[in-house]
Amino acid sequence: MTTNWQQLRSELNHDWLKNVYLRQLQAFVIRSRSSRPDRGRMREFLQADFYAWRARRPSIVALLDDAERALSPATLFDEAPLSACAELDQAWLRIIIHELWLVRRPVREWCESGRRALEVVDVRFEEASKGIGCVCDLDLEQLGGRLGAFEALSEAILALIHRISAFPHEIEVV
Amino acid sequence: MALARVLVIDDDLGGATGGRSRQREDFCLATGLSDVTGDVVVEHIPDPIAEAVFLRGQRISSGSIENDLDGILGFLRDGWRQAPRWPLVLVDLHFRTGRTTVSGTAEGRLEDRLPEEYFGLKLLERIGSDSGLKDLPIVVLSSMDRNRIERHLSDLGALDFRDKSLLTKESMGALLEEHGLLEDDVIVGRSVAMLRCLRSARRRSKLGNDNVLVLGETGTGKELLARYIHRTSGREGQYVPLFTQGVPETLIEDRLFGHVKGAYAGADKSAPGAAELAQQGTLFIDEFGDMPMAVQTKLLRLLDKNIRESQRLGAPMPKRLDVLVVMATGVSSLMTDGSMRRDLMFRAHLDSALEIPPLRERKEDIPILSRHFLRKYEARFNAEPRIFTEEALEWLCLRPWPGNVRELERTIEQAVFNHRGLRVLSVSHLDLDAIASSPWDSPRKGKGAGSPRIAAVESPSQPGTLQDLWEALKAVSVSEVSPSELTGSLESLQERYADLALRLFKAALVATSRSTVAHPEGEIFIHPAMKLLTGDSSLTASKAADRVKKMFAASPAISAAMLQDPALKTAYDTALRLRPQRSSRAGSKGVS
Repeated sequence: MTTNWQQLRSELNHDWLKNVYLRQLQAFVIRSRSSRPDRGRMREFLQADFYAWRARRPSIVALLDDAERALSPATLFDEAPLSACAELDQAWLRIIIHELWLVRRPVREWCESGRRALEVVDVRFEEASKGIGCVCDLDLEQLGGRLGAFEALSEAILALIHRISAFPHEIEVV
Repeated sequence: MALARVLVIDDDLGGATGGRSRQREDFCLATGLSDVTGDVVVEHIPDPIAEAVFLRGQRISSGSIENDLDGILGFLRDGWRQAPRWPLVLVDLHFRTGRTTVSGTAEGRLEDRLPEEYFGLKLLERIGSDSGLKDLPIVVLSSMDRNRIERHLSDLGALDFRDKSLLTKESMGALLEEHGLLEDDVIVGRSVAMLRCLRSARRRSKLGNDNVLVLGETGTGKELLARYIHRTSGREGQYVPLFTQGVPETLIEDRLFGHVKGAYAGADKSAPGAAELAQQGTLFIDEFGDMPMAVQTKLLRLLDKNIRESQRLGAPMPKRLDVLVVMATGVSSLMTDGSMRRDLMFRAHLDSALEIPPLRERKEDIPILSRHFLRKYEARFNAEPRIFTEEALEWLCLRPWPGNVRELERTIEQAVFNHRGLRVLSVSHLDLDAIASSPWDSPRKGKGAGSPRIAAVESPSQPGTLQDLWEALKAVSVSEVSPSELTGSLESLQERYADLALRLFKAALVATSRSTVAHPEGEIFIHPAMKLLTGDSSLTASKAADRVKKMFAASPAISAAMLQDPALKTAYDTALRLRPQRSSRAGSKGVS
């Protein structure tokens, strides 16, 4: 389970958010400011790439919601050798180990801070999308005045990336 | 200046679908790299800072994408053997493998993401063990968490780690600058040998105030490297060079440590030495290997970084200083002939000296250096912008250049100065030996055509040598020419004399110039230059000024052209200042 969470995080945070979506946003802002903008590439972004956030968002929410459970040392009972423990023992040991882990590690704060960062991205995304207007016209002048919203979205995404990256990369035994 | 070229090995950026790579386009736009891979249609990058070749490093077969270690190594070996080499290679860590998805990317396997299994690390390991790729400079470029592989990175010889997703044009520029790949107004060169030297220099400059010894042949640019060290050190004080060549032994100590009032006859006021002037900055001591024994003893306390004391002549107490001391000398000067104290050599860190490669070992820098000097002297002489022919560049690259970069610079300076109106420089404009031996006495049409020997002195627009002048003079004296022909040739003869004399004088000015803080490229002094030119050591300064004025007076036309040269202009102005009362022909005819 933990492996799946780590893999999901890597795919969402590293592969997509960091290396694709953030880079696309930054490139869009640079193109918009260019004296020779690639309008075709800008349209592609506004028509498809930009809205990928809405499609990927639920996965990020799920990732944050699942972090406490997936990263808990209690999951060690899912695999050998601890999976060999009697079910009765496992039941109380899982709870105690999980609680001790929560005392030592501010996992809920990490999750909460991740959710807050996600909310900021949502707000910035809506603000940026309001300024897009009609993509077929691609009014660069009008767009130029709205670039601040795209930059703010980039910053918000960067903050979210940092929050997601801050989760441990393996189960920490307490 | 030509942009540096970097190689990027990355599965995402190296891949392309349908003749496009959107991820690469976005990366290039954000980082200011111009894609020269040639496999995709590229987008215009405004003001690129470097060129980039992208390599995926994977092969696709039977619907599966696998890493291609041998393919990458083969590509690296081929590219590393021939120009244009990449002076920097950026390597990704995480390469996705497995089944090909509809978008053309790999599905990814679990092990691809395990830090200990990163393909980038395996690649680094293989490169490190390949003797043919020993000097390949590698920076890891990844958005993976570096903390988990920190130890591997240093073990495997990576120079640096950069977060790929956070790279901007500014941070890419800083990375390139850090590795000596951006245009530099102090040091020009991207050969492996030079970049290795600059890398060592940067490291040494950041080691606080430790001494640095620079070794190199004449003309390699030891002083420029000292300036570079000062600049990269970030030290707040100024850079103070001390040139001791030709300075009497008794004066070296005074120049280095200064004196107090009354320290010796004529010391009517206190003056700091170069060491004190370099407080919180950098002191550069040239010709360190030729330092007199008496000064070596006093230098010991200055070179001891735990003491760093400088004592002015006549002062009762030494003064503690915070200086970075850079010393330079030719390799042969430090041979153990007993003239250098062993403890001084120890404190100068002879064992870890920086060695500037001679030009013959960095031939791939010759085109860049040549174009750099071309731009420099076009601007200085207000000359037409020009290019080299391919043959000329080839010729420049094939020469042995025993005088190193200085000799190359002089050759190009002369070529620009002698041919200010040209837009293309060919071998004949550069090959001074060939020019010297070329027949000047070829028959010319028009005036004097019937007397080839007299015709030889009629075209002062071409440069000549003393031998040409001598041949021409002999011809005038022995030829059977009519008086009218002889009279008609005198003006040309005078022009030839003025042309040659002023060129020789320019060479003497350059040879006797001294680099100072105010004149880093050399301060002009007419007195020693004229002494050198005439071989008359008893020549006084005023007599030297008179001779300068006389040379300029020989031909107003030639003088006017020559005065465009800043060194000659400075010399002429100095001569006029020293001897204003006796107006010269050049001055009276409006030469300025």
